[in-house]
Amino acid sequence: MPKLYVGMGSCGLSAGAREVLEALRNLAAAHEGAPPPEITGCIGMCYREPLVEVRENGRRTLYGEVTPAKAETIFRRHLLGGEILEDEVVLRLERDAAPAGQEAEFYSQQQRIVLRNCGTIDPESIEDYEAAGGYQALAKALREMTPPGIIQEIKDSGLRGRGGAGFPTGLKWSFAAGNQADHKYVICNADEGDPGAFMDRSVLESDPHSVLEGMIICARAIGATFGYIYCRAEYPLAIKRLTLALAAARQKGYLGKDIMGSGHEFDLKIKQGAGAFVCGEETALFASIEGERGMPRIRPPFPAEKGLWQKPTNNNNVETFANVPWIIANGAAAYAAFGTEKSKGTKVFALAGKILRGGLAEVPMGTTLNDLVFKVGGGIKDGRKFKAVQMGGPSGGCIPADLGDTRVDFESIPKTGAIMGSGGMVVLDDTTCMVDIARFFLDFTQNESCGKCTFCRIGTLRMLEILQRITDGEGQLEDLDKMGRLAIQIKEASLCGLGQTAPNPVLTTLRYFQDEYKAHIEQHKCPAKNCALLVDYKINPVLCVGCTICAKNCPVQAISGKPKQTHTIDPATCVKCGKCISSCNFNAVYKD
Amino acid sequence: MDTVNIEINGQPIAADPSQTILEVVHAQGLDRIPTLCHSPELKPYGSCFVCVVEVEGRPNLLPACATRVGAGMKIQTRSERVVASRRAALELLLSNHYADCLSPCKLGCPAGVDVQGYIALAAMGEFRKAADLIRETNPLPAVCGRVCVRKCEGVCRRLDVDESVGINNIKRFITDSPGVYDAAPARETSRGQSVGIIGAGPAGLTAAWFLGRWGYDPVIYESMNHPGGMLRYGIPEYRLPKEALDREVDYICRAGAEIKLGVRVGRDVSLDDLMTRHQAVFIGAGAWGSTPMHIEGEFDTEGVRTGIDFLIEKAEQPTPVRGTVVVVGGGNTAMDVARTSWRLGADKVILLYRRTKAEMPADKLEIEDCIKEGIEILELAAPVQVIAENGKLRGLRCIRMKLGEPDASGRRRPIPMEGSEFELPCDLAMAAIGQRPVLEDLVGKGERAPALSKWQTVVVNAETFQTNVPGLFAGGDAADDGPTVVIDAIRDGQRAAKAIHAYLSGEPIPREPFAVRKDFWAKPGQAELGDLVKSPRQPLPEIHVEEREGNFREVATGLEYDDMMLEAKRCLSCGCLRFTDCQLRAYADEYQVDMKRFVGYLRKHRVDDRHPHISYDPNKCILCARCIRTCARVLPIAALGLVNRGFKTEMRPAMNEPLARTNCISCGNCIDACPTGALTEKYPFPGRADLVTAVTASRCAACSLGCAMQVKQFGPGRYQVTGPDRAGEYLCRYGRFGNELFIQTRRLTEPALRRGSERKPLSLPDAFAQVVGGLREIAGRFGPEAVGVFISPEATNEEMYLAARIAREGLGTANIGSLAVLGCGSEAGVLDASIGFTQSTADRGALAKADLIVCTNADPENDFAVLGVDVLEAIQRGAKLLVCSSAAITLDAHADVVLDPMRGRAALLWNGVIQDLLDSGHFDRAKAKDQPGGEAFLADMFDYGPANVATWTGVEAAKIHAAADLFRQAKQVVFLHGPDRLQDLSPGDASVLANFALLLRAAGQGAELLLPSMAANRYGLELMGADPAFRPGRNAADGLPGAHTHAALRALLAEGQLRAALVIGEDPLREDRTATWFRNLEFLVAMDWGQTETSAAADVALPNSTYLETAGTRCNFEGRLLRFERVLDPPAGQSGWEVLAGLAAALGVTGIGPSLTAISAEIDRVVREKLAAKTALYWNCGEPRTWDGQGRLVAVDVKTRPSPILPPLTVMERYKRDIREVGVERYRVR
Repeated sequence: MPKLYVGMGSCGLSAGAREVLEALRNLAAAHEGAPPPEITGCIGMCYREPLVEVRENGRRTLYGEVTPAKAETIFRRHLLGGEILEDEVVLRLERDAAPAGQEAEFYSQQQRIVLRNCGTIDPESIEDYEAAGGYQALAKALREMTPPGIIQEIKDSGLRGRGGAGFPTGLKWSFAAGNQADHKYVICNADEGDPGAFMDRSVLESDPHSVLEGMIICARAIGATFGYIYCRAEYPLAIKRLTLALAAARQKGYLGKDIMGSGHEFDLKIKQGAGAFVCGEETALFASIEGERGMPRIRPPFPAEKGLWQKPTNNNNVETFANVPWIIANGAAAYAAFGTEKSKGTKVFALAGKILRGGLAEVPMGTTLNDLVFKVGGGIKDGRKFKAVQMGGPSGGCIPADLGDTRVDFESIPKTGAIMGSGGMVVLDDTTCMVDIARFFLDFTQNESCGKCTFCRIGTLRMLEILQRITDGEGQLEDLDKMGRLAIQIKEASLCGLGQTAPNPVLTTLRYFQDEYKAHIEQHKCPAKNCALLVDYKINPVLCVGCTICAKNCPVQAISGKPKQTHTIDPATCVKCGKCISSCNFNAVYKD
Repeated sequence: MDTVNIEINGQPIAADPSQTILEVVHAQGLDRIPTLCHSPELKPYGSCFVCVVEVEGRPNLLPACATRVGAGMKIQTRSERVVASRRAALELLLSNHYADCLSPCKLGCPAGVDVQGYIALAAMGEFRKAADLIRETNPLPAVCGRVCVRKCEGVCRRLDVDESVGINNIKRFITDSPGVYDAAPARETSRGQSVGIIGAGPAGLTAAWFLGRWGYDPVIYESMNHPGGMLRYGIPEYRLPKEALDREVDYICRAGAEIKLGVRVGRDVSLDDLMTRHQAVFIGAGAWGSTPMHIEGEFDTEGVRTGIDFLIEKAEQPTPVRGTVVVVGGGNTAMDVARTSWRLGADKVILLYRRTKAEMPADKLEIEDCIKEGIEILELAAPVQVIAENGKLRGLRCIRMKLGEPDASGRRRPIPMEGSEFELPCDLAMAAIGQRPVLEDLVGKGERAPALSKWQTVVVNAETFQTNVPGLFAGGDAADDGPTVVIDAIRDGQRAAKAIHAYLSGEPIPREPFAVRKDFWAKPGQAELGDLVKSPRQPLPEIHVEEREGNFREVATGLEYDDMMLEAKRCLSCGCLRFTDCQLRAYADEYQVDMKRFVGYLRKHRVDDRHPHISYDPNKCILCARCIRTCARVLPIAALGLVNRGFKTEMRPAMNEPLARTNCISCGNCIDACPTGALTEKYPFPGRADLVTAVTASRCAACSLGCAMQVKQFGPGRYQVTGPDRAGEYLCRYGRFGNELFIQTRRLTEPALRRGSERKPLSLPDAFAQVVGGLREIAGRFGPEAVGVFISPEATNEEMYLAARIAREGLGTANIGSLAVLGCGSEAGVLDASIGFTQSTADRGALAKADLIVCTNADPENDFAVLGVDVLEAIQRGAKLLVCSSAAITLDAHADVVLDPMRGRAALLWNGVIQDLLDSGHFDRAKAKDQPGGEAFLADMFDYGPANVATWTGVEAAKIHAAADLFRQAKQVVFLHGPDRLQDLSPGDASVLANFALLLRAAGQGAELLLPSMAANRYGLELMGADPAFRPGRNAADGLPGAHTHAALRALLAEGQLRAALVIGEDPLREDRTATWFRNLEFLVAMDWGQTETSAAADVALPNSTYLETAGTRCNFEGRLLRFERVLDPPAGQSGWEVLAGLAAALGVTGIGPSLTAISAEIDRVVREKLAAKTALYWNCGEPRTWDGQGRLVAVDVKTRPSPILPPLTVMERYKRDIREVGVERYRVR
């Protein structure tokens, strides 16, 4: 008998997976012999959630946008009836066969290492994880490898920090291993805060044990006895599944005084962050765990020497740790086979914005932006024009479409002025105003600055004010120069990564989209027709049939015209709310 | 030391790699790197980014305060990129620095007079200083106090609340005060260069004043017969009495100015001559011509003349005026002409003005006075023709006007109404519609004639006031923009003087200091000013109108003293108190910031002044967190922190509570830490301005630490205490704000004799006679053993020494001691038997080396906050802490073990710990037996087993063992024990701790005793012989009658054997228990600085002085000899030592040095001679101070009942107790 799986990541839940699961449970209960539905995490196709999978003899058939009614159809026809609803199949995965179904391309482009278990196993079941080969890498690391051996393996794999900076992980571990102290700490930074990024959340929700296993291996390698997972409180499901995973791992002896009988001791705690973006900066994160205000500290001393509680500390992010068990289990060479010369392995991206397939995808390092956008992502929504990708979160930058051949790796991306970042990728189309997008991200960093450094605290606000002036049509040409210079000064004289990268969105947009800035300033026009104060709403007399709908919808009575005659908008009264555009059935209202 | 080779600004340097770039650069004097968030005692923080430097190969600029030097670094400290970044950082900080560096009134005054400053001085009653402060920028304060147009009042922030401060009236009061013209102004040495000045008006007089003071020889050429120019001839006497003007002119002349009267340049002497005669010439000739009315018959009709001519004439010859007078104009001159006419008997005076009263440029008060004096104002009318009969005036033909659109001046333009002409009959018509200079003759036609403008004014450079002729300057009404008001002329004179000085000396003209103003963004308005109580402006009293008629008596009589004080207190003190030492401002000046660059949103806050002593202005905070980090060094949990994020980040007290409601201990070190004026101290006296008249370095005598401090004085009795301005040297609450006690306590200012309930003041010699008589009489009747002398352990060595000699030599009694010490139940020289001396065995530095600190009967945070910093630092470094206290103390939170024995049982408990260590073998019993005194000691150490000790002390056995464990692990132990802290004294405690230290040392561990006393000079008592057991130099007592031990003296007191006493600085009668000691007293002499119960009951009361009022020495708890300065004058005129020296002389004690220096030297000689090898332990003046660790174990009877502990017996100790127990509010000075 095949089994049913419901994707119960946050994406699934917000799309209605709970109702689907409930419906399927009721159906299973009502049909004797029908297996109850199982849960799994996110397979990455967040844009088609809720997803229901029918799994049978290694063949996986996924249906998307499942409603309780559709679930019943799947239950009756596919599960009970054995009929594959071919038209509805989103994805079919079969051993020794290429992925098939509507989203085959999304999947076939991927190389899933970090996401190997996501959407496949039940994240709340340690047995599922074990059945998928879980904790075998830990066993190997404990029984067959020495700490220097583990570190060497990681070094050989070429794994680099997936939090964004790309520091070689093996090297980092060797620093912490080299410092002697009575206590050392392993910290997993799960304070994912970039707007539009959800890689870590998905991994924690879908495969928490892979992160734990990575941390325990790390602890073994550097000689740490205690660890923290610093997870933002906005991820309640991740925290819940981590908590379950911790308890299960402890019970199974993967954590505690004598791990798997090796005599090695390690345990860890979940620390919930209070929502300060800056706590993703490791020294601020330490301060936060110590109960201080989350503010970065001066380096040196580096964390490997004096980190948390002034003890040697190794801090990696979720994705980095999730890679570790795979590398130990499959060997460094297998991992290094993926990727480019200096950026090995794969990278998970959260695709968001104006892209057709908004979800999570893991591709080999070195994949081009165009491949990500068009092959994995399926191109731009509504057939619009691809304009740019915003990469690396609020501290990243915007890479224009004409640099679409850029490979995503730690060498190529920074050359564009953007950064790899943790994997957030916001795709922008021609309706996005680049000045406004810079303003949006700067507004975020301004509010999230810890307030310590002069440039980051005040400088970002001053830049924001200039951007606001420009989007309001009140900018001056010299503002561009002033802002550019201030941006460089902010980068050069801030303590932590937040301040050092905060101007990136401005700098990259200034670099690639200067014309758009100038249009705002010189012509008082927003080419993307996005900035409300610079846009006029007009009615095309050719298309207008005088149906009066727009006038009825206008909240300020700015539209006049007799029935069946062309209507006009009074620009002085218009508040540019856009209701006329959305209400017009003839596409007669346009922005100018 | 290993060094690394680096390059700084291209210069190769060998640097210590443990140092930061900032430290290396400053230590080697290579540059001055600015920093706002860094201070040497604090850990690098890196927030302001003003200290950035460029390091080759590093993409980012690096904060020099936090970056260590590394081999091969190539550093640029002042490259273009660095300077630009620093400037940008400062500009960003200032873009959110909503502050008035200087008050609006000062900035609003053309002459830049420090208005806030002189008002503050006036509020303090410092009128002479206030006048001098005005004269720093304006030599005519009495003139301006009467006739100034008061641009300062127009911008006064008080206007947003009610009415502007009556600035001018305060100024006038100052100049009317006695003594402000007494002492001659200071002059620099003569430079031998002279400057010719044309005109003795305000511009010329001002230039002469400054040039004279700077060492030039100014010579003024005045065409009139009296000096003053328009001040004399243009302003009538009823507004500016000639006498007031003469005073000022006279004072200016005393600054070196010479005035040649009746010399008209261009007639009697040529400008060319002057240019030859002097090194520079200034034209301040004024504007003596009138603007014509441009109407027919204006110049050729008898009875039509100019107002200014009229005023000049009447100034010299006040002949009567008859008939109807019409004055044309609406300015101050028109008012003067009208009011003068009225005074001289005109039947009717009419002011003719083409607009309405509201548009009149004249001072509103002047207009009101006109109306009061019955002068008619004819509005909206203008003359068009003179009506004459036989060349004699009959009247003016006028036309009605109406108001049209506003013109360039902002006032509505008058437009003639056609056909509205009318006739105004009059006998005298005078135009006062403007003046102009008349300079053709003066400048002549020579080569060196300066260029004139089309308005006939001299053309000058606006910066340098120089004309097109080198060395020829001009200002006032004669220059550039023509006639204005007095204060503008003064400004010109002042600026021209600076320019002339620059011209002659070759120095640049000083730049105006950088200052931000709130008005740059927006006027603060009520919201930011806070809840200010409205208080109306004090009206300026004037003589009644009837009294004015027919005379020129001054109309305004000036404010009364009380009203002036009320007015001065209305000042909001807008200007920053840290103007002179604000680092932000100094760097802004140095880096020439552009305020306009980053204008944008800024946060506005109300000033938080809810704390009794500390005022916090968040608008000025730059978030350097120095206050927070300083607080964290003083308190285990800082009372200050940051809230919010991003631009909204703010420094706030913990939990955003009012500071006074946090765990703040009011030490005020945050104030010293603040690099701007965000945290300031509230003064306990009226007047707030950036003025300090004297800074004296002295020390605090609130406890035995003797911390260094500075006293900043604002005038007699008005002062503020701050830290010593050395990084990391702090003060505690008592040190910084202890003066509130001196202010609030009623002082004993003169000797007094009590007869029944009456007190009669008497002179010191008379008082001495009474004292001598009284004491001698009792000694005669009951023997010297019935007489005692008691002195506070806070007194200076000199005072103690004198008191001891008064007792022994003057009265022949051995009864000398301190009641406070006797009350502690201790003996003299308690540790002499153990370690050979009774003092701390080490100094504070021992804490830095300790790995175990034992606080027993010591609560550093409350009693010795400054020592507490050392303790906290040691803990942060990793030292363990053991606390032994019957009551919870804040340090408990950091303690590894807390022992809480019942009060008075600590010594028992320590013996328990010692026995644990003996029983466990950590202390080797055999070895202990071999130590001196070991056998007897061990014989006693058998029943302090854990069970017994737990029963006796209430501390469970496990804790005792845990405490012993700490000792087993320690390498360097420091015991911190308060020998006179009343909370937890227990019999024999110090000796037990000494045993402990000796045993630890024998076990190869380090051990030191630090014994900080609550009283400033407890250790001086024994050294000075103010102790029954010791004569000066800790010399054994002689055979005088009376008690020779503390126990004996206590017994003598308890039995009521004392019949007469001299009590110095202690207040035994306040407490019942000590009062009974004096129950049989027949004669009591009390000497104190404050009024106490004892001084009230005394037969003779003598005045004493506070520690700020007497010089001398004290011995601190580290055996260090500290020198104290007489910072303030004692209200009684004499310091404590002087009174005691007088009394000693009256008692016939001989051989006392004539001066404090002589007495100090005498003491020093005695101490060094008697203490010999131990001098350095007690009397350390910089020699190395070490204890050899040798000593003797003593068996101490710790099981006796603790003797009753007395409450504090001095005013200071009582104050400290109140603060600890009741809190700061009680002593809040309002």
